[in-house]
Amino acid sequence: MPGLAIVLLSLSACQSEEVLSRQSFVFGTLVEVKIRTSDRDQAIDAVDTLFSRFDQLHTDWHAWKLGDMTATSAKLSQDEWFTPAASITPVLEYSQQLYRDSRGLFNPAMGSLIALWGFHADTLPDKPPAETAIDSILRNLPGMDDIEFNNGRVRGHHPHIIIDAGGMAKGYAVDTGTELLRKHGINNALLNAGGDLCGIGNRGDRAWRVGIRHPNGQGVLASIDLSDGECVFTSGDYERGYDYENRHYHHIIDPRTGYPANGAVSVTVLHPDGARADAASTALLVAGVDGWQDIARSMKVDKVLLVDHQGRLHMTAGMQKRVVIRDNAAQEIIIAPQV
Amino acid sequence: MNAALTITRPGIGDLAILLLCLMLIPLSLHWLGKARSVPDAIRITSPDTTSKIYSLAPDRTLNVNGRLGTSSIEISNGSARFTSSPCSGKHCVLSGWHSRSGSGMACLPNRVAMTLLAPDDTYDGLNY
Repeated sequence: MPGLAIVLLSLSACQSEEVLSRQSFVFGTLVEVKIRTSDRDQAIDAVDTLFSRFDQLHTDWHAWKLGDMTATSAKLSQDEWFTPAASITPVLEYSQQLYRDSRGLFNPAMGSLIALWGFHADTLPDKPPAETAIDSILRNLPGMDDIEFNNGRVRGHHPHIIIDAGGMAKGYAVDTGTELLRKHGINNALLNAGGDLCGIGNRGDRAWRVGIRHPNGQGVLASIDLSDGECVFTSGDYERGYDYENRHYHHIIDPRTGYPANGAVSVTVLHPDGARADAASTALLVAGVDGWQDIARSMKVDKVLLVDHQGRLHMTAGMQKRVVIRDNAAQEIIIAPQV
Repeated sequence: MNAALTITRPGIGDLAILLLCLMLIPLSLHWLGKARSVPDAIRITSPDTTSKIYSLAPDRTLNVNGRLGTSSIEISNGSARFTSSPCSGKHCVLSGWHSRSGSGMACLPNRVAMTLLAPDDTYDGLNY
């Protein structure tokens, strides 16, 4: 009889639970939150707080619209100590760590180069910048090591520092969001920020299941079941960009060449730290087929999937254990067991 | 009169039927999975309303008011696409038809998004 009672109680709990889905345009993208809950009011309250927080972070961290980050960039170029707004310093400090781990391939200090390519505007340009202008910035490109920290105060040592944290901001925000949801008593949720996702707990009958869209736009390449607290981030050359004379110019710029990265089509990273997964997917796309394994090791990410221009999949042994590839989705699969 | 319960040893025919049933289980699950991945609805999100879910039948065009103006979404033969939108890049229109569950497109400047839904979505979210 005790066994029967446990079963009945479980059924009762299951019947009162639902997966609540809410969407909103926040943080410059469409954010969706799915929450498995038996307390609808608690879940709605948590999501409303989350969306409000994301709106604030979007304003605070915006790279080119007036806010705390643009004010910080302006002061960093003046070579003087100052105290940034509270939401900025942790982002700068972690960005510097990720910059070093990526050996400079993830470089949020090169906002001037991103702006030159026209990506600091709502409307994209008709053509890429002149080669001479790119070379001019590249000769004296700022890096995150040009920023010094001391007890919450910061000082820039380069006159052209413009912070563009776009390569990790969404990850950092999602980390903030999952922490906020947990504090609101949410133990089972999936947070989807414009195609980058983090999971809390599970869906009930199974883990939260994420499909990785094929970079060619044709359906799903693979799927991953997220463990509690895991995030999956992808960067690809098909993202924000523009076409000029039959070439596509996307917004992930290689700090070594000054041009959009072209060493891979897309990189997917699975990691419990959303900001690290976000920055790593950017840095590994820049590193390309030839350099991604070294950078994955230095960035301490061991679950990576890279799609090259020939349609081949390169992945770590750690990712191989977690990912389910769809039939006929890849020409060839190459495993990198040493990462 | 009491009915007598007799237990006999299973014959070859019984074992064959049992084997057939066991073989049909994974096949049925496969068919069931395939059936579930076919979208039958579309969720449309716009800034002036909460998300709404529409059936993918019958074929028609939905006009959705966004921040900049009206976006048009055509539904045909179980698929959907943006046919017009007042944004500058028209990426949503250029992305063409969407027919898979979980697939979708957003016109971010106009704050209008669509996502195709299956009766029980294969994926809880799409990474891209």
